[in-house]
Amino acid sequence: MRSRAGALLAAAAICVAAAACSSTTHSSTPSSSSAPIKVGMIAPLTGAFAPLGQGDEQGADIAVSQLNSSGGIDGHKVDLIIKDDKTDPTQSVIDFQALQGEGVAAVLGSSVSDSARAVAPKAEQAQIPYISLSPVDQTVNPVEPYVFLVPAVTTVYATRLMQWFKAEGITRIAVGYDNTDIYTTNGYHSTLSEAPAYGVKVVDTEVFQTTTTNFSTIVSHVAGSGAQAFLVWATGPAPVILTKTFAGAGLASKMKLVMTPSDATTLYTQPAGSAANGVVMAAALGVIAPALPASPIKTEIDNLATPFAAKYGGQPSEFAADAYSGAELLFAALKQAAPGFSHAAIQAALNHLSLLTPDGKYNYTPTDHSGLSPDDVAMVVVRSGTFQPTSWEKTQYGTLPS
Amino acid sequence: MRALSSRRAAARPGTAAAQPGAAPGRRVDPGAAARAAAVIAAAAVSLALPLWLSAANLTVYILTGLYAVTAIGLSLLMGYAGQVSLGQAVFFAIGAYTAAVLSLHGTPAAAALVAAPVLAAAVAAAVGVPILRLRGHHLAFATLAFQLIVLSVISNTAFLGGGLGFTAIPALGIGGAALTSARDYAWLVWAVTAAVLVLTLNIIRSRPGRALRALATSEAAAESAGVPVVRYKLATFALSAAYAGFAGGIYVFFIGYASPDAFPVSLSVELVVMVVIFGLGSVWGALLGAVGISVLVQVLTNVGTLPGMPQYMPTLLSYAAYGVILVVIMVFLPEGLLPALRALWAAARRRGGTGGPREPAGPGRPAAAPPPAVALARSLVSSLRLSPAKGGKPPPEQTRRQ
Repeated sequence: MRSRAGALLAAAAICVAAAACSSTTHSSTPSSSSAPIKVGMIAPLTGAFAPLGQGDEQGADIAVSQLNSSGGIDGHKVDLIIKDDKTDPTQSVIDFQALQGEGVAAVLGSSVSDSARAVAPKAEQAQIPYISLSPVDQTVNPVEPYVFLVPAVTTVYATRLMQWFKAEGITRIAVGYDNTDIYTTNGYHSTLSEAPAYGVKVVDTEVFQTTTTNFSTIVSHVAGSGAQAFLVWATGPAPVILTKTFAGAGLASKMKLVMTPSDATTLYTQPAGSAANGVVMAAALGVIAPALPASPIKTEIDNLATPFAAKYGGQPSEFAADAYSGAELLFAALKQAAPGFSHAAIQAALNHLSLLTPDGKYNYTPTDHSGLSPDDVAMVVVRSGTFQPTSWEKTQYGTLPS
Repeated sequence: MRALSSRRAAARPGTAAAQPGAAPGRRVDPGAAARAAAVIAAAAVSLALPLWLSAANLTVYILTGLYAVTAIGLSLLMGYAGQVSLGQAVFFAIGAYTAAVLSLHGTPAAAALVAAPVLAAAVAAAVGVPILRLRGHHLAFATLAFQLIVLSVISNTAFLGGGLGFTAIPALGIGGAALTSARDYAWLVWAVTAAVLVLTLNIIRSRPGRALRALATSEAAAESAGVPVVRYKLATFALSAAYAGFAGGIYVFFIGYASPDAFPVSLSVELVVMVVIFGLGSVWGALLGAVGISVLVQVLTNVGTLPGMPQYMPTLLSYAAYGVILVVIMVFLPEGLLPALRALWAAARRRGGTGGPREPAGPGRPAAAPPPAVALARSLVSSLRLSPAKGGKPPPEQTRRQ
């Protein structure tokens, strides 16, 4: 009985699976003069990094609606197809292949590094332009022809941080990083490589994991290290707990706690609460938009922030800004790739693209698929849950990207 | 399978190799033809499926096959040997990393793939010596802990790619011929799944298979009957690890990427769900579970991101709907789907008056008393119940044995 029912059910299940999996493969480039251009997006809408995916989706959504309401590209509207990778690199690959099957012109990648690592080689192999929203230096180092990066590489952030340390007279820093995350690990190595040029010495290194929940040992190490600042490369709940432990130990008055762009979001400031007061961060210029003087970059930021506040409320997150900027970069390339919108034409356009976005001024070249510079990064400070420019940042307004 | 098993039952114990040709002229069970037809139909449909699946669904097909291979091994371990593993994905990971490291260092891909199950089995045999002395929850937690330890070691070992993982893993091939298309992998996985299925069914019906069922029911009784309990448990653990390792090796060549985050604990849990959902103690059940869960998860993911779906849909479907389905099955059908469907089938046959006398338990059937793994699964489920009144009567095994 057992094996009979099992065998029959196996047959039934496989037939159901076949039916469930059946899908049609759509043709590529728009056939008629007004057919929409399909653009794919892979985002972690569920899973551990769902808050990032929400930002990805919101930013891209605003960029697409703006483009479509202004007439689209060469008479074509853009059709954004979003796939959920569930914060799982294996699912990202499935998503990419689904998008490939639907004939997308290009793919906006997930903001989660594992997904980018898994998908970028597939995109390169398929020669489909892949615009990565994940801050992984290795995505564009070495340069792959079809892979472009939206967030700044960690060396750009580290350079900006060092400029600020130098200006503040900080020469001894402790560095903490999450060694289970690519972005934070890269950030640590970039810190080590950039520090000497600015006369900054790393006097203490602390390692933790994304899932670490007890930071008292780390904080007491740092307290005794003689550092003037504690630079933390972390993301998710860990930096929140660390910030509270740091403040609870009374260290906030003795040394600066410095965070990186992955924490320049209300996902960090809200749970950290008053403990985050005075925390300094490297961040995208967008987070201090209200404080910026009238400038081309401020206009760009407002182009995102105004509709964002109307539709979703609040300020766009880093991830929303990245997705919006990535979409704008792609649309600019699509305009140059009209009317064929071939993958090769889009890639060629991206290869020489210069564009001002809310994230800063991109200058993609065949040898630089990152495009941002330290001037695109702001040094900000948390005050009562909001991001304000540091006094040093205000002296840098002369070199705002334009 | 009935023809196979009745023939095997008549054969001398230990002669597991199937003889070609039809069963000798003994009384043929009326259902045998239907079962054989069902198996052949399932095999034919699943073999033909890759011809018309889209790229994304091909990937789902391949992953389903790899999970099925792993789940069949886990089913042997949990359902027959009565040992619980909540860390089976670790052997998948060990296989994947073995194949990745070897092939990246110049070992031919085929040799690297052969090494994957060997190393996974060797590791299982080594850790099995101490941890298989544990029972029930303790063994489950030990296997879980082992996975966490291995993932942590990988994250911190530069030679193993650290948290960054490996990318650009070469394609699988022998000599000049390489598996380049997903369809090639699909057929490879089909063949591997079929081979593993046949091998496992043969093991179950062999002398060691009966010994395993005996030790699952009572280790003391089995030992007194001359079953080498420790050696058999260890061998089963190693074999299940070898299955997982082989699947992991194929996975890494197919996906081309390996990082600790690709083999999370949630994968181990999902494998247990696949094994349990159709009922422990059935290899067919594990196969069905792998197919059912993979397809269910994929369908929920796809539906959640259909155009026009509200932003909360992916979350709702991935967590709420998936969770509710699992909870409902475990609460109302704690024995799993197969026994419930089998009861329905029998009831239908009785109503139709077509069935002869109820068949006695076949030789392929596991012992009547549930192995400890079943008791564990039930106690885990019953601890989730809000009140016994709502969930029906409590499982009697809880009071009977531990």
